[in-house]
Amino acid sequence: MNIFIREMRDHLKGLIIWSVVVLAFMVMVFMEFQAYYNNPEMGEILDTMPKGMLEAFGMYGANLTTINGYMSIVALYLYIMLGIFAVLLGNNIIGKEERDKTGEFLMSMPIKRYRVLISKVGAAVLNCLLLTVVSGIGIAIAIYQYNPERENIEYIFQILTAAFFIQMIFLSLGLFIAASTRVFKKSSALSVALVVITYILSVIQSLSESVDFLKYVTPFKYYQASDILQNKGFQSIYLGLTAMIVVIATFGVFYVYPRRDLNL
Amino acid sequence: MNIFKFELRTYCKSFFLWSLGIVALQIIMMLFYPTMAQDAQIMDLILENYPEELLQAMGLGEQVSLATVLGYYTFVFVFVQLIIGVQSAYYGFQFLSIEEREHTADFLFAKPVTRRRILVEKYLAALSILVLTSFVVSGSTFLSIELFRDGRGYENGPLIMLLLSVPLFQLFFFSIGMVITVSTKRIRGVISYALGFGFGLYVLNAFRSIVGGDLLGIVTPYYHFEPAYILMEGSIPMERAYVSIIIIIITHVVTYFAYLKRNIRSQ
Repeated sequence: MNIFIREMRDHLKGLIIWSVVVLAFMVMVFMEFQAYYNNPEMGEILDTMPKGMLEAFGMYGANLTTINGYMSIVALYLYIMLGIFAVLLGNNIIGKEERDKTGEFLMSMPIKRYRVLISKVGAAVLNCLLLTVVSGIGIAIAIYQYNPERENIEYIFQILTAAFFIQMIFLSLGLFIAASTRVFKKSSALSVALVVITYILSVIQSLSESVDFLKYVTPFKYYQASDILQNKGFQSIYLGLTAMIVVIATFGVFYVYPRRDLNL
Repeated sequence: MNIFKFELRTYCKSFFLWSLGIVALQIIMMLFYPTMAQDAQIMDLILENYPEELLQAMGLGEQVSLATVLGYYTFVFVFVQLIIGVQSAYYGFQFLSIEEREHTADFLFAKPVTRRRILVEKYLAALSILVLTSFVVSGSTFLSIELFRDGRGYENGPLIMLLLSVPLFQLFFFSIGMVITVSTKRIRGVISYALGFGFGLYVLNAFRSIVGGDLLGIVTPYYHFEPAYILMEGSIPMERAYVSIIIIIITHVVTYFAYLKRNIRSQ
């Protein structure tokens, strides 16, 4: 429990900075929404566009004049921000002991390594959850003036759940990378590569039919906001994939870390 | 001169890996150009039927046709910018903070070299790596376009203009990293900051390009050096770029004076 509290305190500053950034982003983004909200002219323009074209620009099913439509475009950027937060957090929370040479102190305590890990993972998950909640609050503040209805709130709730799942994927991968590499510099470089590459893959996936399989590779495609809007929920295959990645990576962390040499 | 040489050597591996990433990205993205060009031609025909104002309102006015080489390359280059943005910010955060983080400051600052000289040599080494990276970007730009242009022609002028904007773009991120380093006590996770800045400003601009509006673009160099604008107009949008240039100048001055007076922490 002590380690858990310590970790929460240690990461508080980062969490606050990220929260401010996410809140500011939401407010700025919904300032632009004023131009679209219930503006029938904009709606008409969208109606006259052919389906194929909207699809090509990733705007199909995204009616920018409604809260849900606008939200479905915001969602991807929310995923990216929270995903980056999670992978860095996962990588840091384990790697920092070796980077700052504090591992020597921590590991000489009469606590088993897996107990240390449990506290760290718990703290990391709680941090992710808190940031998701803060994003939710940010969105709530931003859309309050547009009188959201029940379906809006449900949809936003789904997006936030999806964002949390994506955070869990990246968190577990970040933890695993840090647990299995000896040098912090290397593990942080790998974490960055992971986010950038999965993001670029998600862009490439939308370019051509021939690389459609990439939608199973990059987590950013698992919970596409437009899919959630159309299907009123998540697809079970992606839920399965998420569970699989999280379980395997977490298992890997608990298997590898207690057994390896610490680089102190 | 010794510090400069030493620094250059330490960059070697990281420079090689980043370059590899940039070249691979450009080639992979251009790989899709031939098939995209055919699809895009059909779309261009549809788009032609829509009045200009209407497209502008949709935020599509700035969109270049994806069927042309430069049009498609606009799209590719945004991601190249993303990578060099993160890289430059990384070097900016790294090159001054590393001595304190790895406790090598004690050693370095005990040498009979002025602090100004250390700063300048370290700075020049990092700068050389950024310039080399921009050469790599230029080389792989022409390489990937020549490989996959499929017989379609393109103009050289705007492309060269775009590549000339790269050093300024890099300097923006680099100097932001620098100034944050000298104004904080200690930087722990360099890569978190670099990724936060590189990606954060990118997200802002990506969102701006969908919903329109200049407000979101003011602070982000991805908008100051927007590939779509440069490739279409053949020039850098100076009124936006000035924001970047002013920030670069201010941060350089601040860094110089702050670092000379800095309380270097040892242990």
